[in-house]
Amino acid sequence: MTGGQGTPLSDAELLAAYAAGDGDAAQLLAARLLPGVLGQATRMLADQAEAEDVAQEAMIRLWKVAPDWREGEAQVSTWLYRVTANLCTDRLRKRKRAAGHSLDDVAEPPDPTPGVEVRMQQSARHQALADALAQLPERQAQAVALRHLEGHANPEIARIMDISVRSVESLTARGKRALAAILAGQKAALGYDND
Amino acid sequence: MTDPDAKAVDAALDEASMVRPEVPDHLMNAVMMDAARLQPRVAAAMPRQSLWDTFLDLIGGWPAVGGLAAAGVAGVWLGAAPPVGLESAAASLLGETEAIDLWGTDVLSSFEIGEGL
Repeated sequence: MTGGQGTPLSDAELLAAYAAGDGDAAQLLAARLLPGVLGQATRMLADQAEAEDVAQEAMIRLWKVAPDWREGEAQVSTWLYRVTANLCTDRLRKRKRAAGHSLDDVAEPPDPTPGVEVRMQQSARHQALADALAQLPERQAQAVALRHLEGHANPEIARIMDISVRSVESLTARGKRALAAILAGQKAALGYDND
Repeated sequence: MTDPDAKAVDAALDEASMVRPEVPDHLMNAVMMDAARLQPRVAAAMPRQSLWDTFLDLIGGWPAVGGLAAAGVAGVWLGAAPPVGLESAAASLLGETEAIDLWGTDVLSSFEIGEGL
């Protein structure tokens, strides 16, 4: 589906087409946006099933907002990053509450098995990181994830979180310090050398 | 916090940022089903049909209106100026009209008597 001069339709234009009853527009939007949403959720949650739930919920919110979407107000992708980040921090908070944990009971690396040892170690480290993110205040966790997991520049994060660039800098700096403190005692257990 | 702590966090973040999951088919299917379920109905978005348009649709559009109008004009014309022979033809087909007194008496005669008093 392309625009007037053969250029691909923007996300906002596809969303408007979906709202007007075009089923193909939904397919194009999902193909374009869902991988990013799922990736963001997976990187932040380190849990495939939870990430899929979040991705589906984020897309549901997109479909619901379609009739009221005003082009030019915000980028669809920016809006989705925000929704996904919020859904992820909700999940992390619930996970933290359910576990009532300290990081002591998190991410013990599994017994090494030949052939899958490296992947399991990576998975354990990822899980430990997600659990450490869950310990952070919500905004810090979001800022750190958007900066260091998604690779966004600070001005883009400021747009996504609707805060100033200076606030983003402050949140990411404090968030990283807090993460390091939380993970400080786990480097050996997580496969990092204590150097 | 020491530098090694910060390095460990950087390493963990770098590693996690490399995760690029494939979208499984069941998730894509679920998302598309949601999209279909939540898509605004096109009929609701279309302007409502006027009463006249509804009437036109009902009788079969403008050609039917033309036929109705022609039939109406012909009826008026026949009523106002019936062609010669139409009345006799009608009489031969349908029979002569006759007035029949269903009561057998003049039921209003008592009123006439009352009036005279």
